[in-house]
Amino acid sequence: MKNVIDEQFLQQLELFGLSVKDNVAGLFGGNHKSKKFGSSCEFADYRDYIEGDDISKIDWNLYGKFEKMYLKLYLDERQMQTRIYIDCSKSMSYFDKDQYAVRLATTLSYLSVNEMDKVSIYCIHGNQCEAVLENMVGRDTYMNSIGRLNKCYFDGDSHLSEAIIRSTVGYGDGRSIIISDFLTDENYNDVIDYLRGKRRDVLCIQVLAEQEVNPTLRGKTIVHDSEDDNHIYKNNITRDVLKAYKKAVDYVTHRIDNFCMSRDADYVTALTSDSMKELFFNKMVQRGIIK
Amino acid sequence: MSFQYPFALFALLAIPVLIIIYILRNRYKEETAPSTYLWELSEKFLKKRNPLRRIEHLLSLIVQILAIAGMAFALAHPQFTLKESADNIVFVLDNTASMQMTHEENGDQKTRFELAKEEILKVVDESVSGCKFTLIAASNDNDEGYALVCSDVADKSQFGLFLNNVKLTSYTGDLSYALNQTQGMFLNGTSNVCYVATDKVLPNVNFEAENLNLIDVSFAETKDITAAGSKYPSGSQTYTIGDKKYATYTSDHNYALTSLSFSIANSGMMNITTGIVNYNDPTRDLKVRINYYVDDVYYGYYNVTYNKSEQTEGEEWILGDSHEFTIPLEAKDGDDFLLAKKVKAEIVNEDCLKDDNTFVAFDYDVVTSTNVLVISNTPLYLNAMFKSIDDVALTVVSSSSYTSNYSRYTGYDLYVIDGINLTEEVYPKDGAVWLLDQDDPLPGAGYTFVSTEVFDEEEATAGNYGFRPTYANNTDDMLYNQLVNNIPQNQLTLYSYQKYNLTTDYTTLVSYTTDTGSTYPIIFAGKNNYDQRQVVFGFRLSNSNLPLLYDFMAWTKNIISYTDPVLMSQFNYEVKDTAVINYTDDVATMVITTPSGKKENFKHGSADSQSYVLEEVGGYEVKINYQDNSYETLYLFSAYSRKEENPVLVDTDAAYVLETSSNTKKGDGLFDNILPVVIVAAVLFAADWIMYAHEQF
Repeated sequence: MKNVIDEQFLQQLELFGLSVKDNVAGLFGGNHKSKKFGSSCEFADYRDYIEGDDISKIDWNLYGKFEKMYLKLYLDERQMQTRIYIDCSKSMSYFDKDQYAVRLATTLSYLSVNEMDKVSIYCIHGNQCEAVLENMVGRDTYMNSIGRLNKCYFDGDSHLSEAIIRSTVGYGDGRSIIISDFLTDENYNDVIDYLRGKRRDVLCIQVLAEQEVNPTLRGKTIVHDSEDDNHIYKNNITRDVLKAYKKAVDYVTHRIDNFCMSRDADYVTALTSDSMKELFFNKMVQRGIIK
Repeated sequence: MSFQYPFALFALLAIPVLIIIYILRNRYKEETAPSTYLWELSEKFLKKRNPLRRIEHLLSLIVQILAIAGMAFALAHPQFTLKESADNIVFVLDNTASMQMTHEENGDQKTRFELAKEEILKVVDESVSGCKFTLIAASNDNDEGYALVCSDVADKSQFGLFLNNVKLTSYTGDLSYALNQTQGMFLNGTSNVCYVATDKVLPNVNFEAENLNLIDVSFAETKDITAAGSKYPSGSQTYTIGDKKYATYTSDHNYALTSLSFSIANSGMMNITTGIVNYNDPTRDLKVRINYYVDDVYYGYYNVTYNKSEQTEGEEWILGDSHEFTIPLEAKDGDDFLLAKKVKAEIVNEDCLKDDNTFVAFDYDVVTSTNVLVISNTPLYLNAMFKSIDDVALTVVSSSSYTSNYSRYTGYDLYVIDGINLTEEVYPKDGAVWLLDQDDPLPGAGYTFVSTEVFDEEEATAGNYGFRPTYANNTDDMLYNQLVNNIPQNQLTLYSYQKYNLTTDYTTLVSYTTDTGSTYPIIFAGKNNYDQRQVVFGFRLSNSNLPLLYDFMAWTKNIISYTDPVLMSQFNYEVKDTAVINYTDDVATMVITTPSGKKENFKHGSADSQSYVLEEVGGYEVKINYQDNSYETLYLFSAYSRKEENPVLVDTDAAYVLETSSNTKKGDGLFDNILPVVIVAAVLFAADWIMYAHEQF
């Protein structure tokens, strides 16, 4: 993994953290502020004092002003469970999308580890969700374990919904990140709905190659599907066909973006030509995915 | 239709090659994509196909085939024959001196001649291929008054070369000769259209005729002034055509110097008389500056002014009339005008013909004294004659005195040996000789004595008392013309004469034909074998009636002029005049430098007097190197013909009306302009490229 991790980039990344949208129901000890009031140092609000409350939390300065006792409330801090799902179908093996996906998972897991969260990484093959790393906590563990991602292989097809729904996804304890090209007909809707139903933050990262967005094919061509030999596309690829293709690309990206928005999930498109810096510090920051 | 380069049609073989490439390239190629999902989805976004799209690739092939066909067609240079559409055009190009004028408003300062050439080239370029062109240059640079430069040239570029070779002359000319030649071409059917390129106004030539066109480069305006009281610029040339009267005028300026002479006053001042002519509108204010040079040193200027608002009687210039004035010129320190040889006047104002703005006057002392020695025992007639002629220093000796002291008698210009046979030892070695009545000529004399013929007195009748020789009428011979010049040619009668045979190529001036038909020279002249100018009279003066005739005086003067010639006697000429230059005995070489700087060695020909035709306008320098290594420089000046100096030249001589003969037939024209084909091919190539670029980008 040394060749895919830019230390300077990681140092810059340490200044950011994945934003949390929903109430965090994780274990104590993490860096994420729960919507529950707790015992951290970060002030949250005041409320009237009622009998039985800890008198050490009464704000005596306010009592001096208003001659009424108010109790200071503090946010609670919880540990999140980040689950990263990598689409390991054969379509992801083209145009270095596989390397890009692994590098992305590595970076995201570092970001989570840095937040003192637990991180699990899964490869999706067909209907199966295979754990590559589970419950990884702390930088030492990260550094020792992250190399296992090299064992990921990209072949066959993948069914995101079936694979993830079958697996243990947790409840209200953190974020689920799906890294895929999403070049399929809506089999991701179920899993996003399912994960949101489990009160998990969802981030969908669509990895596309430049060659997929702006194909160079021209003329009479028979296009074979890498995942299904029975699927072929035969046409004379003209300027009009290319125009229609670009519209299809826009349609696919907008469709998943809109769906994610409707489910209060996050979405970002990652082109393999984008550097990690550009993806994280521009695209993700702009979309509020990391703060 | 035919093709100039039919081999280029082999380029059409590229079409089947193109079709094969097209078929090969249109096979489906197979590719693998990560997912066909996006491609399949794109079908939903594909607009309804334009039916043309289905044949779009075929359209590209069709365009490419047409482009190749067009290119091959263009390279093959197709030619279409157009029946009887090609004219046989004759151009009459005026190359007289006035054509070198420029037009003041013409910024590029092109001469009328250059503009005429350009216009002719335009006519040639715009004419149908297959036309034939004839070019006639009209000026008096040859005896016929025109020059047929080329005839029936079909190749336009070749005609351009011929046209380019026509040079402007400094001569005058009459277009009648050229137009007459053109009419001949019309009549014999070799020409049917004529263009006349000239700056002359030709009132008698009908340019309204369909087959006659005028390329007018005069920049002149013409106004109909037939109506009584019509006003026109006072500088106009007026002329009449039929019952109509016209005035033609131009705004171009032209001044010219017409004469120049100088004399030295007793005070040492030089009086210069200058003739100047103005061809402009005399109603305008004028101020003409003339610079003067004495022996090429600038001495001053004089402004000739004409102010119309202050016009006084006697100062008015009339258009085209010379105005003469005399001004005094004071010598600068150390200069002596008595030694001045050359005075040059130069107009410095801008005008349309600059070459006539300079005039050179040259003073050469043509009067020289001739030393004559008469060796005669009976010098009565010769003595009387020479004494009656000015500028002759005469010495008369008897034969005995001469023979005894012959070494004293040298250095004479002319030795007259009368009836005496001198030996070779005492014979004069210098000067010229005039031999009379020799019966034992020296071998080097170039003739031999045959006999002495005496008239039989018994045959004498009234009015016929001797031999009656006749003049040879050898007018083609310059020496004959020189020696017989001004002689009345009264009948010469001889009582006796010496019969000679000529052994050298002498010019016979007077000869006698005997009853048997044999002719013998009586008077002859030329260079003898001692390289002396020699005149021989084969009779004794006292045996002839010559001393009683005026002819004797003329003979004597001519012989003096021949034996002791001056180099030149006239220095101002008009262009194409012939200057006569005498090659005297003491001259070694002579070099003439023309106004354009061309140097010519003036060679010593068979005759001592030689003619030189002044082809250029301006000052000629004649450098004479004498045999004693001294040299002398003389100057000749050649001016334009006055006729050619007027910017508006109305030529009423050219009174020719050209008429097309019914025999004249047009030739077959050839349309060979490949530009449309090239454009079509280029458009097709461009269309193919645009289609490709549209598809690719």
